[in-house]
Amino acid sequence: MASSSQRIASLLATVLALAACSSAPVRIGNDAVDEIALAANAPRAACVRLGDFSDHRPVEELGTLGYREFAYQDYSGWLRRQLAARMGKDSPDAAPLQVELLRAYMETNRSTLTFTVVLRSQLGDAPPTVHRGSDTRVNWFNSDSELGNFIERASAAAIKHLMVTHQVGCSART
Amino acid sequence: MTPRLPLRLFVLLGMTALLSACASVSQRLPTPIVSDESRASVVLLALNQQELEVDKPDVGNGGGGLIGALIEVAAESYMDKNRQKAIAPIRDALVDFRAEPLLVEAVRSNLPVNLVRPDAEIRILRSAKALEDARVSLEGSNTLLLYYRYAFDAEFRAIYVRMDAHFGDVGLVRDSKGRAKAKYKSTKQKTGKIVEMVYQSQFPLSDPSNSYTPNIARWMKDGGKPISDALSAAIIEANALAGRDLRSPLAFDSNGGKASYIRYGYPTAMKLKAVRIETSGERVLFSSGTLLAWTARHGVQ
Repeated sequence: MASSSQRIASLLATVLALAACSSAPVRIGNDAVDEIALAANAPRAACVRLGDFSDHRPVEELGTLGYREFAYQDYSGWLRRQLAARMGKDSPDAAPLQVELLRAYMETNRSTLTFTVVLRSQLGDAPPTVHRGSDTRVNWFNSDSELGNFIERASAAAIKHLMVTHQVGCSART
Repeated sequence: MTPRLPLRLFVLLGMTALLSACASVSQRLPTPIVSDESRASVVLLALNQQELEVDKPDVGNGGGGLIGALIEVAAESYMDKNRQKAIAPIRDALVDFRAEPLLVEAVRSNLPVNLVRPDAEIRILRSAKALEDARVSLEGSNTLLLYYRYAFDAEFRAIYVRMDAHFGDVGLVRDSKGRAKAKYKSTKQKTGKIVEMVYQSQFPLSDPSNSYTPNIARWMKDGGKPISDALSAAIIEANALAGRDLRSPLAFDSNGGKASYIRYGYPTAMKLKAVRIETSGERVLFSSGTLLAWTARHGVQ
């Protein structure tokens, strides 16, 4: 027998699900996800520059919530710009860092949503490193801006991991 | 005012019917009889995941009322975060493991050719909308529809592949408002037209702990090789089981004896009293209702 809290949880889940009943695809734009570009304390890796950046995602769509498909067409471009902005630009001493975008997708639970971004970087002949960022929290409104915030936080975590990894590399080389 | 007898009787009958519906285990329907010409030319493969997943933890009862519901949501969020953090190194270790080509290959090599043409198109669908559109377009023809999930249970005790298989006229029809509805809904309507089965292959740890951290450490031996081995084997085993059973339904009765099996999967792992169909080395095939599942011998209680 369902407890009253389980019934209310079900009701909340239904209300949240109904908010996603529209089947119109959601197109995330750059305006929804540009905040981390402004983050003052984002780590940087000045001794490397962005070399080849390739998108190897098996699917470009970010996922679905109910019948709503979420897509951010410029995600790959936005991410590349975020990475380039944090690396040494046009410095002759900066080594080229190859970066692959492997995954960007969301998973849903009854009331929570997880967005995951997976990158892989390689400097010269060194072994490649995987950088993963993910953000899990309660999904309240299914709004574009809420989705954009998930993408920002997960991307920021993956970028931070990549930068910190190569900052350490920079220190080791100097 | 006291209700009249017929009203009470109707209420009682209604409650009885409702309760018996809740308690029943779904029974297998007959496989539709298909001529060579009406075999399916499309296999729909519904796959809504990009990496190995972990089942969501069962948060239980938050204590009642709105506060309780909010407690449950908060607990679910907290536990889900923990599971996502825990599975990250596993996913990193499997970052180059591609489940999809394996799935497609396993489907192709195990097609039940009595029901599906050997050259059938295998179409991967990643969203509910894409699946709906495909099912509407295929209305009136036989189709094999497979819903896949590959995951760990919430405590990382087992890895499993689950396939929900539907064969027959699984098409959808649109109503006057454009909403898609199943053509056949009730058991009576589906009988002879659609067969629905669940095929599962699960690889539980031989010595699982109640806490997920030591279980993850066991899976991560040799850089996560036990995981990719188990996942590959589960994909092949589940598909082989489906192909075999759809070609010629496995007969099962109680001759194999009933035992307790843990069926891993969403929303929670569950202990089932089920019939053993056969054993093969360390593997045991059991059945419960429309579920057919391979598990390890040490997974039998």
